[in-house]
Amino acid sequence: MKNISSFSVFGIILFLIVVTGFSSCEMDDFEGDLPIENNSNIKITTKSYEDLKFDSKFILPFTEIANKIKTSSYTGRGSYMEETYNFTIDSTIIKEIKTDKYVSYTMLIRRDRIPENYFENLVIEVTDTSDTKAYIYQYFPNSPIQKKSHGSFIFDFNFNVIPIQYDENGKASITVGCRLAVDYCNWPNGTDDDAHIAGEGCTKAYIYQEYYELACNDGGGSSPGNYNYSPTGYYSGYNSSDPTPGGGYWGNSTHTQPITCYGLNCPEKFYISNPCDELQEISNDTDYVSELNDLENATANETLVIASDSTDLEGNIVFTFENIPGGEDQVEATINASIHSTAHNHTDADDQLSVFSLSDLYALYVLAGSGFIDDSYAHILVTNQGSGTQYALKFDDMEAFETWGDTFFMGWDLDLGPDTKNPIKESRENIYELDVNPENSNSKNESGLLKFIEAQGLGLELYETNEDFSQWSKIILNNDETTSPDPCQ
Amino acid sequence: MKTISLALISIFCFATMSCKAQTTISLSDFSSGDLKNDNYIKDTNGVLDPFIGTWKWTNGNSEFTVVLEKKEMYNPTYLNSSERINDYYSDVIIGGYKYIENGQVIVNTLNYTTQDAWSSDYAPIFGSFHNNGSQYKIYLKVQDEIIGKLLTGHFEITQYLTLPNDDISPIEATWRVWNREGIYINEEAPPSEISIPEEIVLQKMP
Repeated sequence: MKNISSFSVFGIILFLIVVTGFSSCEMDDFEGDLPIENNSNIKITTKSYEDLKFDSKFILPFTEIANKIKTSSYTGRGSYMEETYNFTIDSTIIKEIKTDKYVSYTMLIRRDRIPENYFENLVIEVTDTSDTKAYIYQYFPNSPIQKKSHGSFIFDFNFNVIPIQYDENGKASITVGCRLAVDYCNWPNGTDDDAHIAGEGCTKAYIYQEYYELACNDGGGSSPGNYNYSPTGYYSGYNSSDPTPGGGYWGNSTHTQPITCYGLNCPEKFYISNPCDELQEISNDTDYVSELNDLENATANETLVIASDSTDLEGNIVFTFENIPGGEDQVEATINASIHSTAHNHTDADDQLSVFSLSDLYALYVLAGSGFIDDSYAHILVTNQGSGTQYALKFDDMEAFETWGDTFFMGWDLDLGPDTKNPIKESRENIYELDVNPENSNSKNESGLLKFIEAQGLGLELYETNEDFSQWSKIILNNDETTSPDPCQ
Repeated sequence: MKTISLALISIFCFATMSCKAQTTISLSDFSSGDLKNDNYIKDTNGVLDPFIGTWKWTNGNSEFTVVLEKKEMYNPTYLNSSERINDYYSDVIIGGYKYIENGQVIVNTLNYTTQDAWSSDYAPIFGSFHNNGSQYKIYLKVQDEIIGKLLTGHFEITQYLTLPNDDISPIEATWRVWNREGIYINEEAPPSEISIPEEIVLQKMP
């Protein structure tokens, strides 16, 4: 046996993983709490601690880990391992992967000091042929994690495996499965381009396994392995094929689904934004669409809807809304907490703009400087001009926008008293009005806004949505100053 | 003497370079992309001239008087600074107004000044010509000094005589102002009311 503190296992394996909690493929088969993914006898289910706390296959090893490795206590949300294993198990989401003779439970690991460049999962593996095993998987994203709809992700990564085993004396030691198996789904076209980590609703025919093999001469079973680790102390791994899950010689692949760090406690640099996916999250939410419809149908006063988001048990975004009625031409709001997006309306087709006013852009500048939004924020406007316009501004370069605003809006909000005109506000409004004013057609204002964005270097992108808010398109300014929609895929 | 000559040459060169840097573009033929490099958007064709003068609306004991004039190379500085607000200069219309309602003077800004744009008595009307709009329309920014709010609007000559030289002699114009829409985050929105006439027809005074 080797002590875990003396080394860690490192498998340098680059592979693309597309993680989808609820991508379109999941919609096919999902029914209640039933495990609906089933290929090669593998069933994948997302569960909570509450779901599993009376399941002996889970609770016994979970408790054993919690108690035997210098445990202080654990609750429904986590157990605490001190010193060598100084982390908290976040059992809010537990990915259960099950066959007839094998089950693994994957949970997110959290530490007091958030690692800057990786996140960790705890995997507990229970078989009917060998001892219960546990591993810490450390995932090192090679590029920022790309947020997809419904809390799913795409990312490339390397990973470390730190195996954990506990003997009868409660002394930590290690063993390791020779292979890591990840279950993929290649819906809808069955190609590598479509591959992502299998979600709960992936149609069976599209499920397949990728195996990542650690150099290992282990005889399997309950004995710890012999490791061919490199002089650096890291293990290397390589892709393998066709092992079977479960314990035993060459069959002890560890099946897991990486649980990416999600929510507010994750280092932001893990993530990059995809404006189309972020806007689609809005379209997929019936409550949000209902709010937008209400704004569109309003004919009197301007109204602001502030949307905040949280993540549910499944990693899905859940929106909550604050609806703030304003006056005929304006609405004011206090924002002192993080928000996901805002939407407001222009109701007077004669005097109000079919696109964002400069005051709307100033509000965006204020929000950007407030720290209550990030670069995934959406600034949405719906109007009743003509057949109605429905836009969203998204950050292409939030820092550039703030830099621009620092200069352009400098002195904008000076309070000079009622009888003193603010020459800065007057001047900025005049510049904006050259490209955007209520006398313009909708299309002219659309191109005018894009001209302004490009000429001033705002670092913003303009998107429009269709009548029922189901499809978004990025608006492109053509050389002849017309515009074209580039539909989100 | 040699030092003085060098200084004069330097000043001459600097002045020459400065002149070359600034391009004059006709107010009748500019776009938003020209508002840079200290360009001068100049009223070379006199498109602002028809607006200049005194205009009056009367309705019983109520009266609204507007006085407009041309301001050349407008580009104020920042407050308490010598730095210019804009990257360009432009010929614009500035002016003041007086509003009498039912015989009572509500507000009178006709004694406006034209030098310090940050002064409380500076001209409260700003008019800008857009060459992509109507030939006889200017776009307004008007300080409503009762409620302390910058209104947006326009002033359009709607009746005029065409002179033999193709110039016009204006007779009537429409005045229209309104609130610019907007959302106000963590700040108080200005009052919605407007205390001066919002939409009237003015007669040009001789």
